[in-house]
Amino acid sequence: MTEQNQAQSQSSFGGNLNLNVRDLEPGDRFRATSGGVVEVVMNPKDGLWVLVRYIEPPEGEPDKADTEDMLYVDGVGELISRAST
Amino acid sequence: MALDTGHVSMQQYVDRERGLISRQIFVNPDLYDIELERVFARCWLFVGFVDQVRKPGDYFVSRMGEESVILTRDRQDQIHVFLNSCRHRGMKVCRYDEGNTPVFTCPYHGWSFGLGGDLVGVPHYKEAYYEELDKSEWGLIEVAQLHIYKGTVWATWDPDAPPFEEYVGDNLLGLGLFLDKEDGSEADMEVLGLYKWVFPANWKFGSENFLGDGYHGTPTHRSVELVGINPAGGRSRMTAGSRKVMEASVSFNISHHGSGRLGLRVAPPDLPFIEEYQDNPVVQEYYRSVYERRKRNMGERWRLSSGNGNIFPNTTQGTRQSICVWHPNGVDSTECWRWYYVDRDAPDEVKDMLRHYYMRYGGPTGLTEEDDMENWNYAHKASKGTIAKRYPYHYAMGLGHEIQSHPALDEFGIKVNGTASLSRPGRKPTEQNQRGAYYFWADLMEADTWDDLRTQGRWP
Repeated sequence: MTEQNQAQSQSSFGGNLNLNVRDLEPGDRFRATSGGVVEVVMNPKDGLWVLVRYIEPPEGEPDKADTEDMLYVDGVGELISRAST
Repeated sequence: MALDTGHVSMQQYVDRERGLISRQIFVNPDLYDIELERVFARCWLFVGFVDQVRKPGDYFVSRMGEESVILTRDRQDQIHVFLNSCRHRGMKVCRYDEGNTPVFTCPYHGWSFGLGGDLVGVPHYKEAYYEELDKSEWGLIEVAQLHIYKGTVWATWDPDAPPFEEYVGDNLLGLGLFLDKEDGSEADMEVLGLYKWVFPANWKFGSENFLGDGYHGTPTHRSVELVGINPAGGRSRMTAGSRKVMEASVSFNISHHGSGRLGLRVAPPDLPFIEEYQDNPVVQEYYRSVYERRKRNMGERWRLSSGNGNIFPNTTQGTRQSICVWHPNGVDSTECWRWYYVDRDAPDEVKDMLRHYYMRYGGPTGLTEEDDMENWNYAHKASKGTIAKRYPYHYAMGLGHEIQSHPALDEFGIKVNGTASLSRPGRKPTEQNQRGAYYFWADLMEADTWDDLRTQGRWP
């Protein structure tokens, strides 16, 4: 992805515009914009939040490994894998 | 901060000697504003049915007074009632009527609340709030008290309001009889549906109609009687069986703490099963079985039954298995919500028969309720004028003929702490219950605290 395309696919606050958060399902994995890799635990389908578990913690925050967090849509980065594939 | 309603004398609006009530209490916008604070922010209000939130995450958006509230069940199976308003900027956090969800997320700035009302998500909590916002302080506003009574959910914003059962007082017996299954066993209702509509009259018109107005039936509903919406077929609004129970029973109007029961009935011990659904064997057999089981389940108390009623201020029970709330919607408007329910274990034929009967009878499509609204709408409008407001309504029917006891009540150990009036045998409509409601309204509007009512002898 070119730098320009990448910029166009980000929301004003940094979220991934190529992904509708409502479509995420439990087990889907993606990068958090603040760092680390997370897996969807539950999606309330409000289009704004997902409950995730940290598979890889953000750099410098090892305590976050395997913890759950509500992640806001602006924190949803690149999709890594779908649970269904 | 609450509206400073000050201390205003309300007794000027009720004439207890002559049984007169000022029209001002129906049409005056200043009184209406005080009413929202002193009545609807303090009293027990009906919110919905347990059946509407059976599973964790189920929610139903209801109303308390003018305010939107969310009835929901959390993951620990606790039922909650929250103000449907985000703590950040006030937006509704739920705009659906009902459903199932793990969280309520405000669509305005994205604050998100768990099923227990706790604030669980604040966008940019770290970057914008520097993690300094104490989320535990900013959960959804929850009612001060909640009470579940026989499958119904009631709530009040006032932590000092008397416990629900004390609040309902003498009318708890009638309310319980109304809510329990027709065979007398513990209530287990299935909600069939909910009608919502708005009509241009003050909310008190609907409440008082079911609270105590046994006088309007013939002139108002004559046309329905002639057309006939009887569930068993034929003319009249009710079945021959229901009418016979009514006519054979000793019947009382009960007034206490502003609530009223229009017909607490004591049937004679030899009242037989009345066949009336001959055209539908399933329905006929069901009601025969209900009659037998009622005797087995209740013993001698099977003879007790309840007609319409209203729990102060605005929750009506009437039209067989129905609860209706007359939500204040401005001084000149009422938003009515009428739920219909059936006993869960009734056969489908019975549920279907009742569903059709309810649609014919009540709600915006029901012939009987249409008749009533015609009166309320025009009565309200005709009471707003400068001249009209000078003249009070007459509520003196039966004044001075109230009773405190009667052998038929004594037989079942029923004590009357408020007042009772004998409405049958014979036909003796009375406006006792309406007087009781408006006297209590004036007392509550004037009292700064519930203790004031007690110390002034206005909480018998």
